[in-house]
Amino acid sequence: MNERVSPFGDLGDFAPAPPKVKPEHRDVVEEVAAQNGFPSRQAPKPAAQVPTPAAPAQEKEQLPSRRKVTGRSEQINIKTTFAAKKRLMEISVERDMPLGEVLEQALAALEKSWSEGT
Amino acid sequence: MPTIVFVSPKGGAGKTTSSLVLAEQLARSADVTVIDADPNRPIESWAKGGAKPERLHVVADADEENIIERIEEAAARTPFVIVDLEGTASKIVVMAVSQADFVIVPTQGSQLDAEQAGRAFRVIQQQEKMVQRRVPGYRLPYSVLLTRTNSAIRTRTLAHIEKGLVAAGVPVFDTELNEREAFRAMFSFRQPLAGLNPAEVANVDKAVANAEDFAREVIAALRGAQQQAQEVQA
Repeated sequence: MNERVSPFGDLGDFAPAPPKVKPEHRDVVEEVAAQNGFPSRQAPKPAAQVPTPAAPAQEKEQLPSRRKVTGRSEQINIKTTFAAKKRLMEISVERDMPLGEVLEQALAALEKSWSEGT
Repeated sequence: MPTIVFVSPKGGAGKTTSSLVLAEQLARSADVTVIDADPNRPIESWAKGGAKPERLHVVADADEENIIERIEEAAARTPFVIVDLEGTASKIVVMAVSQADFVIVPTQGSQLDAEQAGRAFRVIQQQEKMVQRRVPGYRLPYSVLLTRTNSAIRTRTLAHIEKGLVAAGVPVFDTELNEREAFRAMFSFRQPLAGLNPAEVANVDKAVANAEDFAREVIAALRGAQQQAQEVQA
């Protein structure tokens, strides 16, 4: 099909606008949109949604632990005097030695003294 | 200079068809940018058919965030800018209207369409009134385009709607865009009206004549608006 001559003649009176920026009354747009029920229907960009769940990946700060792994797992419950218990605790604290180790060393020393004594 | 925005909060009113019809006619004598702001991008996919007239340019990445920039850029590049919006009542519509020199409200001859068109008039009128308070003499002319009308028969509903519009002081174009196979074929063949084969599509010549009448009336309305704007400035 051949192109026919335009019936509109010269449209030269309509020139591209040299940056005639229209008054961008943003608040007017907001108000007109709100009053007439023309809400924003654009889905939020996915990038904007990401940052929220990222945070919990960081580990909670750990408290320093006093627990020592000694390999001793048997428990004894002994009745003794307050003074003996106090001395046991003091030695443990002074030497930074677990109660189990104090007991082992005490037994070893006792047996040694017995063997020397005889 | 003129930025022509097609608005209808209702889908299927004929925005895309009438904006493409107008763009094709104007592109016969001038450079035209069509901003396809419908997220379905119907004009972009039409242009992919490869039969786009040389002087018709399509911008298809417009959204609510950049619509104002896209219109400004296009208005600095080409004498005519046509904005086709999606058929919903959304904020992007109000933003495009704020940048318009002329608004066309395509409406079918049904009560449902006419009621939705009423929402468009209110937006246009309120926009004009509010800007006028700051910029005395600001005018935002608009007109209704009755679409998909029967070229032979005038339905009573259409007559009633047109009467109502005129009585309410709403400007209505004398030209109506008739229901024509050729206007649909533009999209199925991805061709401009002038590229359709009359052997395949009925009454192409009548559709072209209809399109020319519409474009002529729009040009006259734009000249009128431009003159009025100059008088205000003078």
